[in-house]
Parts: sequence; C-alpha cells; structure tokens
Amino acid sequence: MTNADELLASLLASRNADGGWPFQRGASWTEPTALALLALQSANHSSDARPLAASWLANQQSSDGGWPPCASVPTSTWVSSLTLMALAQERAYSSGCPKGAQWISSHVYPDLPALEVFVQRSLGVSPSQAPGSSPWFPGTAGWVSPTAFSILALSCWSSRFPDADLSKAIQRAQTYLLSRRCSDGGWNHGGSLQRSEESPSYPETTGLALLALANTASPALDHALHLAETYLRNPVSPEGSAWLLMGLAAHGRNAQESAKGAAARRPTAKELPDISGGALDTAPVLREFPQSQPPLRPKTNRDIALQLIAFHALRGRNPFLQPAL
Amino acid sequence: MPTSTNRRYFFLGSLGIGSLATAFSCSHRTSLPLDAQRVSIVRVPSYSHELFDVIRRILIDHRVAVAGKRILLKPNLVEFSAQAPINTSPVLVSAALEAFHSLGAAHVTIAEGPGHRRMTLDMAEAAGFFSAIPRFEDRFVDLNTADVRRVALAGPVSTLKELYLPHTVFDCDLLVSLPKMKTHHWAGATLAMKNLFGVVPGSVYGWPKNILHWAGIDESIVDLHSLFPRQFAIVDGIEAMEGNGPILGQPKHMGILVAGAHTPSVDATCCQIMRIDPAKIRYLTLAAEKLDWDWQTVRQSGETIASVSSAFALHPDLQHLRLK
Repeated sequence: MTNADELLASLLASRNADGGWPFQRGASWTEPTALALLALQSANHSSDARPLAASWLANQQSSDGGWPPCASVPTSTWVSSLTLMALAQERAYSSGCPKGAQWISSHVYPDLPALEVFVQRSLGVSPSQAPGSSPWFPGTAGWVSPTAFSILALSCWSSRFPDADLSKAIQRAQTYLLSRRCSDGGWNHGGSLQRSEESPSYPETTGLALLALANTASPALDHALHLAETYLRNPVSPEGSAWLLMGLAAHGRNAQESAKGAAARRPTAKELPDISGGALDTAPVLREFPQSQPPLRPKTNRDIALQLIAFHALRGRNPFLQPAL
Repeated sequence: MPTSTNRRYFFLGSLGIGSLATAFSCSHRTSLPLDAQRVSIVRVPSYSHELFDVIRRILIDHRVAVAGKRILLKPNLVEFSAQAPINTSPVLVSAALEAFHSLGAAHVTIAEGPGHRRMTLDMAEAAGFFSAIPRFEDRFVDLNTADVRRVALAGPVSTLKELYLPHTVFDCDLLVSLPKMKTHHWAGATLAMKNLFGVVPGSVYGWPKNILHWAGIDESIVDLHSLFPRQFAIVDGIEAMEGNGPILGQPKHMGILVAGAHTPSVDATCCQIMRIDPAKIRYLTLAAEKLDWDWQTVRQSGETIASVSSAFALHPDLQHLRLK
C-alpha cells in the first residue's frame, strides 16, 4: 500500500453520511469537501464518494452564485473559488459554475479612482480593499490566500471559457500578489508590514502564491522559488509542504527531489526551537517534543486532501491547474 | 513540591485583602461589588511544576465554582517563534488543566483559533502542547474549524450585529481566558479581553479575522467580552512580550501571574503593571462605559502593582499610552 493509498483510505473513511467532509469531526463544511473532491479527482478515484461530494457542493450554492463556508452560515465567501474548481471537473454537477465564476470575479477588488489613489498616496496609506485582491469574507480587506484561490479558480474557468473581463481580473490579482511579497521574497497572510517592521513569510502562503503565479514570468519569483526550496527542506506542516511542492512544480522546479530530502530529514536536538523563553527549568520532556511525534503527520481532513493532491500534482495531475471540463 | 516562597507572597496578599476591598469606600463609580473585580497578582519565577499549586490556590481564593462544571481553557496560540514568547506557555495550560480537574471539574476542554495561520495543530505541536499535555488532540478544539451557530449581539459597541461562533465556546459553564501578557501594535496591550478574538472562526471570517478590524478592534473586544458572562482570566506574565507585539516584540521576564473573574479589571491591572495607562487603552474605556465600571476601583491581592511593575517598551507610535 502506497502513502497515497493510505491517504485516500483515510480520507474516504472520514466523510460524513451526507457526502461532505468535516474539517475534523462534526458537520460537513464546503472547504474540506471541495478539497476532498479535488483529491479524489487527482487520484482518478471512481467510487460513489465523488458524485456524492459533488452533489453536496452543488446543493450548497447560494442564489448569488457563490458558496457559503457551511450550511449554517448564509454568506458566500472565498470557498467559492475552491468549489468552482472542484465542480468544474464534474460535468453532471457544473451547471452552477458560470454564476460561480461571476461571483468570484466580482470579488476581485477593482482599480480605485485616480483621485482616491492620489489621496491615499499623499496620506501614506495603502488601500485595505487593494485593487486585484480578494477578501476571505465579503466587504473586508483583500489578502494573499483568497486572492491566490481567485486566480486559480478564474484561470481554471477562463481557460475553457475565455472572457476578457476574467482575464483582466486574473492579471490584477497576480499584480496584487507580486506587490505583497515580504522582504524575504515569500508571502505571509498579506500583512508584510506591522508598524513598520517587516514580517516574515510563511511556507504555506509562499507555496500557494507561487502556484497562483504559475504562468507569470517575473524576476522577482527567483527569490521566492529559492525560498520555497529552503522551506521545503525544513518542513513545519503537511499543509505547508503540500503547497510548496505544488508551487515549485508549477514553476518547473524539481520539487520531488526536495520532497525526498525533506522526508528523509528529521530535526536534530540542536535545531529544535527553544520553547522555554529562557525560564523553563523543570520540563525536560518539552525539550524532546519533536522526537515524540512523527513529523508532518496529517492531522485534519484538509491536511490529508492537500497531501493527496500534492502527491498526484508531482505526477502531472494538479487539479488546481486543470482547465474546466 | 515547590518551596513556600511564592505561597507566602500569595497568602500575604490574599489574606483578607479581598474583604477589605469590599469594605473600601471610594468616590469612583462602579456597579460591581468590589470583591467581584478583585485581581490576584502572584509571583511565579518560572514555568515549573509549582504552577499547578499556584493556580489551584488562585481558584480557591476566588471561590471559582468548578465542581461538576464544564471548563473551557482558551490559551493564546498565535504563531510559533523560537525567539519570542508569543504564545501562552503549554506548561501553564497543562497546570491549569490539572488544577481544574483537581477541583472536580466535570470536563476541561482546551480551545483556540489562531488568527494568522491555518495549521493550528501543527503550531500547537511545535509550541510544545502535545508533549506537555497528555492526549492533547482529544482535549483540544480548533475554534477556527469547529461547527458554528449564529449569535446576535445585543447593544453592540462595534458595527457588528451578529457573529457565527463555535458551539464549543457556549457549551461550557466557565470560559477561562489564558492570555500571554503582551504589548499590541494597535490595541496597546493584548490580554484577557483581546484573547477572545480567538473564538471567532477563521473558517467563516478568514485569517486574519478581518471583520473584527473593520468593525473596530477595540469595539469588537468589548462586544466579544459581553457575550461571555462567566469568565475567569489567568494571564501568563511569567515570560511576557514588549515592543512591537503581539508577534514581533521582544521577551520580557516578569515572573508573575495575574488572575481574576472580572477580565476588564484583570486587563487594567496588567496595564498598570506594564506601565501602560488603562485610561488610554480604548477598549478599556469603552468597557468602562458599557459595563459601568471604573478601573480605579479595582483592588489587587497578593503582590502590589508597584512591587511587580516594570515599564514595557512601547512602539514609537504608542508612547502616548505610557502611564505617568
């Protein structure tokens, strides 16, 4: 049994009776269900889990064209992007996708009027609803991850159904992403400056942003790709590794070799973070914590789905880069 | 077992000061019984096994009803950094867990929803929670991804009218805020009340929970506080953070716990310890208006503020917050 087989079995075992997936336990949510469906698609899985998941997602679509995060929340959010990508591969359940694409496109913030740009520049402030960015929740500021998902979803849709407005929205979003790099070359949640101090990037957002910039040529990406390789050699989470592998592979980097190196490597005692803050005097067990846990164990259904997607992405089947059917 | 040094500090303060405070008459307005807003300050030099005993005594001293109750411990887990004390120490959380169990709690759950990054369990593992707390994953609820319900805000201070919040935070008898004592680059300080930002689910509102920023950070702090009438706070001020907190600041050793049932009073006490003026912390002034409460009426037991206070470095833009 391969690692991918184990991941698939684990994913299938954790689905709810209604055909959806919880994050860990409880009710079905849109995000883990969409990721699970993308994982099943990347694995070419063909049991009834696939149509049931697609049906569950299709039934969640709101009248505005977007998808809410779960049945108990009525507002459509960024999860619309993930859902569009998942349903765009399921012909029998994709009838809501055109409206979904419109919803996503309408949540890529437009360019500001010239006067507003002038005033904001004069005041030294950057706009919260920055042009090209997408919010997690409607009406709030734009951030790196939801913007990256907007790019991936709109690219998936427009590659099958070309549309000038969608292409412009994708371009604006990619420009936003490039403008939000941290000084180390990667990306964090989107706040690269905190009271004038530089914030470091995160592995997971760096990998995701690189994936969303897959078809972008920019000298700025060299630094980001190098950083992503460095992150991958020192993995901190299954999610981070999955996005880094996909982001590097999308730019033609040999992510598989990096992954092998990462899998074979465990941190030594000297490399472990000092969690004591200098005052821990009687907890020697804490100093050994990473040895007591296997590294990069997937802990949520989201982790499992992302690992499975990354596994198949390295073998040429990245569902985030597939055109709609 | 630990030496009696810290117990002595604790008892010197707690002996009767609570009742003295109740009898104390002053001109400042407050509708709360003074003992209800009493705050304990306890010296604890390090993250040691002594913490269990200290926390247990705090709970007894404050007559916290624990037996048969469902307790929710809400630590502060934001990000992991080897260099900075960003999160509540797992040793302290473990000690609190054991203390509540020892006093007969029916169930103790640990729950948090980090605000910037999605890998909650991986951060908890890296921060030492898996090793410090047996069966951590069974005891822990990720508030970012737990099932939610709609909650209407009655008389909100912010522009929020409703929030979708995890069932977990309402299915308990007592919410115990376990924040880290830190400066905050927007709010001035992040303590027991701001710690409640972690109950707002990222799976609905995102990372960060930007809806709270748009509705007003300080106003949202007060609104979230008002949703939880049964709280207790134990602030981890053993290794604190100063400067550009809550993430990019510098460690500051304080060696104290600050605790009480009235979290605005706990936060006002912490601010004074940090040499930050509570009257200039907007969320505290909003809380004072909404709750008919005055931080100047708060009484401390155990250590005095003067005996433990030390000026926290403040961001250059926040120098006006300094307590004169």
